[in-house]
Amino acid sequence: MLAQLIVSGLALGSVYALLGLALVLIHKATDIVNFAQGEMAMFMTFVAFVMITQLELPLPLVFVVAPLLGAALAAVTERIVMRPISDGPPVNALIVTIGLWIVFNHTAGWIWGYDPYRFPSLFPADPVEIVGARISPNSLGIIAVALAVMAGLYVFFEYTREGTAMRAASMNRRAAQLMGVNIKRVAFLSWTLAGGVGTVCGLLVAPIIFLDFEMMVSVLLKAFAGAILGGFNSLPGAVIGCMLIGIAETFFGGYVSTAFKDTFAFLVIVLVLMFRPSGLFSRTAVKKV
Amino acid sequence: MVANSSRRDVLMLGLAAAGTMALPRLSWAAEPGVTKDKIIIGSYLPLQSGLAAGATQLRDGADAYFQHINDNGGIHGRKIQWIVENDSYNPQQTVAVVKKLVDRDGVFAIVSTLGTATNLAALPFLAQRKVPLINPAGGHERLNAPTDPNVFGLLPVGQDIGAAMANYAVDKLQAKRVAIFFQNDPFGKDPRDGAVETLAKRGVPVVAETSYVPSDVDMSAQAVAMRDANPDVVLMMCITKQGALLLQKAQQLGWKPKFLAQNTMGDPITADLAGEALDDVMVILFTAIETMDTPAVREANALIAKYHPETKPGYWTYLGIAGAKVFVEAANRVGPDLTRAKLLEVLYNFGRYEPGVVPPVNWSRESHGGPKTFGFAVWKGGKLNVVEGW
Repeated sequence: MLAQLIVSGLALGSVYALLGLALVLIHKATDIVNFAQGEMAMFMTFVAFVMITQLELPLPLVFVVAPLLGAALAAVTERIVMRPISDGPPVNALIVTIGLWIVFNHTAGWIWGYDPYRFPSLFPADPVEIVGARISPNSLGIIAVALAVMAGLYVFFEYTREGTAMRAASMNRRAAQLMGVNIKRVAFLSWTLAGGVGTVCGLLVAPIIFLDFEMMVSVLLKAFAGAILGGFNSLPGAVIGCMLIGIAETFFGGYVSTAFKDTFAFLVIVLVLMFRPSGLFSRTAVKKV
Repeated sequence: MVANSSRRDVLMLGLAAAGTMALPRLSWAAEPGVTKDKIIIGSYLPLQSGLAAGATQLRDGADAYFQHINDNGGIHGRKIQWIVENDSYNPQQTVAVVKKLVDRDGVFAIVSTLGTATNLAALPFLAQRKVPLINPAGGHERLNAPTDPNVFGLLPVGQDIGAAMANYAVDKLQAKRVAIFFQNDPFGKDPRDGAVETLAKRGVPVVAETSYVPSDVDMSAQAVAMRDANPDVVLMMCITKQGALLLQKAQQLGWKPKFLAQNTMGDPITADLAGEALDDVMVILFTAIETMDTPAVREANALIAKYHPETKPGYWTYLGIAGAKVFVEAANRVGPDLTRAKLLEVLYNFGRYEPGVVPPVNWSRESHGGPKTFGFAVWKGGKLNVVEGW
């Protein structure tokens, strides 16, 4: 039971981590929490579904094209919806992202209906026996893809000009601006990246939870819990936080009670915000006077 | 003082005059919704909501049957006009549209509606106006075992479904250890309670119980916990999505108990979702399935193909047809002089009636709710086959 739960938990955690990364990417760069992140991913997964079932494109190609389209959708959203209000109070942006959530959710329901669909998986689902536990290659595949995306993000932030600019902007926006970093471009890039990463999350999670208009709601909730656990401003923190949520949730369901499995994520959010509001891994900022 | 009183007299006179003018219309008007050549009835359905797919199928089913009756001369020469209003699964909207149906459209009865909360919201108004409500689809005692004299339900009470599943597991599947997987709300809990009570009576232990909430999308913990309790039969009181997720997890774990699921798992969409994991899963039935080879089901399939070819026959379509059939049968039995009071009287003396697309009902003045007998079916290669009729 133990090995089974760990692999399930890690796979689930990887999915949460991808969405958590998307949330943190935007928040770091713009101080905006994009509540529509999950719904945008769901919307793009439906688009991918159309590519698979109606255009009959091969699955690996869809896995490349759909995240690019997801990035484009997020980029357009940033330009058309978010940028005009970027100078207003932050609460405006918050309300607009909640509005976007509803818009994407209803548009998907309107176009594709409210029934769940089976979404094909890139990896075989038939389980293999590994050290006494039956593990589905799909779970391992999810973990691998998620790790690859994370590695890509790491390289981008550490070794590219744009990445460095984005890191600078998130550390101190004003100083970065004075050093010639284009803040608007950073916001645009962070939305674009988050859109792509979010879409990968949707594509990975749809085969295991089915594709429907509300599939991302619980994933978003868990991604939030994980990101908050990780401090909401650290990319590695979000990944570790989300993995912990995935494992903890599965263990709680397996050993304690399935009835409160989902409540668990809420509990984590509340407890962390009460006792360690800056996350498990952050050092408290000390100001010398 | 004098002036005052005379002014009041004038007012009273005016009111009285208005009253007498209104009176004849009230007392000598024909029965609401019944004209020389028409019977106007209505329905409220959540045509825009998460339940939209089911609501649309239910509408098409009932509509196909009404059209069929109209094309064959109607009821004692009167054609049926069925007015469907959308309530978006919002109880406040239901109250508004049901008032519109009764007061403005003047419907004779409400037939084949959908939604637990929405139906419950409409009950007080319909009871007060004594408007017959036939086939309110939902999961609540007041809809499935109604005490309101104007409500007639065609769906079973949750506890009865669970009890029937438990009995079938013990009698036909030789269950010695049972696990229960249920949705953690009245939809899953009522049948779960019925099953637990019945199993206790029959001395069969419940070795594991796991639950989920509809937003839950990972069933691995549930699957592992139940597998470790080693049951021989698993009862599933769940909706299609989570049920399919559990079956897939069980398949991945290589765990093969006998699964007996609530009728929701008989929906054709289940086969798309669960794939091979669905093989040998049994389902309790309280509406027909497409492959049922009886005259009533063949007729229903033909009607849907004729009037709504875009809709597939299934749970909701048969349920819509069942409500329409009961109404048409009752109105036919009343005869040419159709009134609400007479319709209710006929329904109180309905006795055993077989709509064919749902199990037989047996209605009296005291009891006019859903069925207590059920059918059972099994999934094989993506097809649901009847094992036992009702």
